[in-house]
Amino acid sequence: MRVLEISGSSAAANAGLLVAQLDFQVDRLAVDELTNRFTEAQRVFFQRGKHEIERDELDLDDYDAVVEDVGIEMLAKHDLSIEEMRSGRESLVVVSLSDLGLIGPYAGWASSEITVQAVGGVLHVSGYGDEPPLKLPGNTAAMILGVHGATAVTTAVFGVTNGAESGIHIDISAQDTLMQHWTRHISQYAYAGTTTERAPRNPEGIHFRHTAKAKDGWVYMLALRAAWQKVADFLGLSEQVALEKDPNVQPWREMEAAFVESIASKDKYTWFSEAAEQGWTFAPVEDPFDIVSNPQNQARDFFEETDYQGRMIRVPGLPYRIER
Amino acid sequence: MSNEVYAPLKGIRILSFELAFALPAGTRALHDLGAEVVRVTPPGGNNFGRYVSVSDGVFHGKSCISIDLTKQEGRDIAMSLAIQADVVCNNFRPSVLTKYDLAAKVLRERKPELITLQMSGYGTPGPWSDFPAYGPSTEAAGGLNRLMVNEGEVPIRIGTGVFSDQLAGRHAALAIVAALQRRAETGLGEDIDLSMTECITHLMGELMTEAVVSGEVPVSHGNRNPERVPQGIYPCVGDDEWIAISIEDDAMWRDFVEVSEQDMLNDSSYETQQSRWKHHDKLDELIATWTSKWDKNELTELLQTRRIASAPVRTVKDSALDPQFQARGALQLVEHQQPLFGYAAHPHPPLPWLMAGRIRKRLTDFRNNGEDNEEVLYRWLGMTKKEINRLEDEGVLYNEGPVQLGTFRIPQTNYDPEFGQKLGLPK
Repeated sequence: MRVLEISGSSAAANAGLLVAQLDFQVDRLAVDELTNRFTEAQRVFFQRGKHEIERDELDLDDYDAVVEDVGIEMLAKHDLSIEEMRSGRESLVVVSLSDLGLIGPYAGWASSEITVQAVGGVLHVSGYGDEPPLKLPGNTAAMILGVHGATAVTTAVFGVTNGAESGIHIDISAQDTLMQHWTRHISQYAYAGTTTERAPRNPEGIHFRHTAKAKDGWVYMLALRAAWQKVADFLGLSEQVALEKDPNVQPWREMEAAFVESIASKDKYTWFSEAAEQGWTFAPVEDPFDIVSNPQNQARDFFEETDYQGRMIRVPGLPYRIER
Repeated sequence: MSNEVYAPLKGIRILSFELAFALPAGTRALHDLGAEVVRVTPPGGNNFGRYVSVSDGVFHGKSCISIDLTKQEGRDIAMSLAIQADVVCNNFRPSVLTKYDLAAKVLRERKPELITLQMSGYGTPGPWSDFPAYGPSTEAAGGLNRLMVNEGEVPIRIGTGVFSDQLAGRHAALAIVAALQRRAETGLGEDIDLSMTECITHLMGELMTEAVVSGEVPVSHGNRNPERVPQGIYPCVGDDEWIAISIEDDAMWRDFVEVSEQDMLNDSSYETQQSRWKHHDKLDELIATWTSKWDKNELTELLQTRRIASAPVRTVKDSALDPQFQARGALQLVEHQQPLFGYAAHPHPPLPWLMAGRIRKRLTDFRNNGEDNEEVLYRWLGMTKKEINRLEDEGVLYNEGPVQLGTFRIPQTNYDPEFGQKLGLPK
């Protein structure tokens, strides 16, 4: 499979990266005004494993698929309108990625990462209840759109390869794809009429579904459906427990000092592994440097080395291991 | 548009030992693209919340068979089904299928062209391989929570509950179709081991790279962006109602000042992006005072007349009614065999892609544990009804019949008694 990437944002760039990481050939159309939209770190992350191709070297007949996020006007400017690309190329797949889609009442709207997160829905349940909803970091919506872009390209080309389908144009929006990430909330309202609100920054008391400070960093504590007494014993809070069943009705205000002291007594990986032995889903809260060096990612050889200004740096590889 | 369903995966058979949300979301996508997906549950289901399993929508469209893998005859049936499949996947902890002699290695020895996928919280190999995880745990371990905040602040978990699950599911779908394409090119199958945590880290790849390039964890600006000033989430009329506004450059700022008719914003000290960044707190205050008098949808319409980047913050209550979602068919009403909670159908998102000249597959309702034993085992293995009945009587197979949710107690917190009417749900 050979794919042409025409990217001006993280969406098609991530689609191209994933397809390249999956060992298919990806050529990125080299156009300065598009390349200049990326920061240096983005270029390092996204350009791995791809070839650059100039417009005057381009022959669309060499490709199975095109993935683009630059929009109709920019495509037309380079004589690459969707109609022109597909004309006479029955098996060519073209995947268009955009914030809000190519059709629909919002198709002409001005947008950005935060407005897409807003209208896509995820944003409303992120952050604290007594503050405005909080944007997800980086270009999350565009990156998710890129995962869909890579899937659409690969699936549609497979459909052509196995004879089930011919070439096609697929229109995918970040708004539509982001909505899928909070379907549980939409279903909860549609089936039961109930909603989940953002919790306040400083709620009355605390409970064991909590992010707390361990000796060397933060630990996320989730022990779904666990008996509270058992969790309290595990946290070393047995003596403070006043009520046996429900963590939410414990006298947390009085227990808080003991809780903080208890969590701070062990490092986050110790809590993580000891909770796992109980069958509970605690997790270390990792920052980028923890992630690069933690034993799990080392064992899985997740990071790839790439050159950055003459030094080798480690960046995320494909998030799955493949054995053939 | 023709009425022909787009089905590039037509003819592909997928056997999925799946639970919770992550892998089911991925195989749902493959179903939506034309694959036949059979999910396999243990007797009594997968021990996950029955109501959540039904209402999440990630099991929709799939057949369901229920096999007791602790019995040798059950394991033999599972192996026979695997031989008939193109893809076998699971999201149990990695040790589980090994225990039942159904590990990828064993399956591939029997059928080298088979594609297998193992999804887990942390992936194998590695010291955390068999640690249990739900989606939120992998968001913490994958870097998302930390990158929401700055040093010294409590890391924040995003509130969707299934964010990481949906992402990992999408990656599973991608990994599987890529393997199918490679098999079509080479004739070889493959084993895929997917880590949900790595999917989150890959999603944060730009920020991860920024960190290793600069040597520092990237600063979180929250809702702000130094490249687009001002940018924020501003209050509107109503309880917890908001609008997102993001000003790209000085020209857009001038349009914004003009359309807002707010004299306080028409100040030379706000003319450049740099100066606006310096006065962001004050600007947020002035903008919030203005937006709080507006309905979020009406204000967005006004701002978009001047092509100012803005959008209403959709809530759980109004998301299904969003005009763009409706125009693009982003939700389908799925009819039930019998009314659930008083309604004949509920909305669920289909494949979120639009294919030119083609339509998307229509979703069908959740199938209960073992409801399709007879149909699937006859079609895949040629088993007779008599044989299947015997296996059900002996507890090798399990059939719960159609789902009954009448007695399920739903928490009534934040309850809106008019939800059915607002969403236009059919009785």
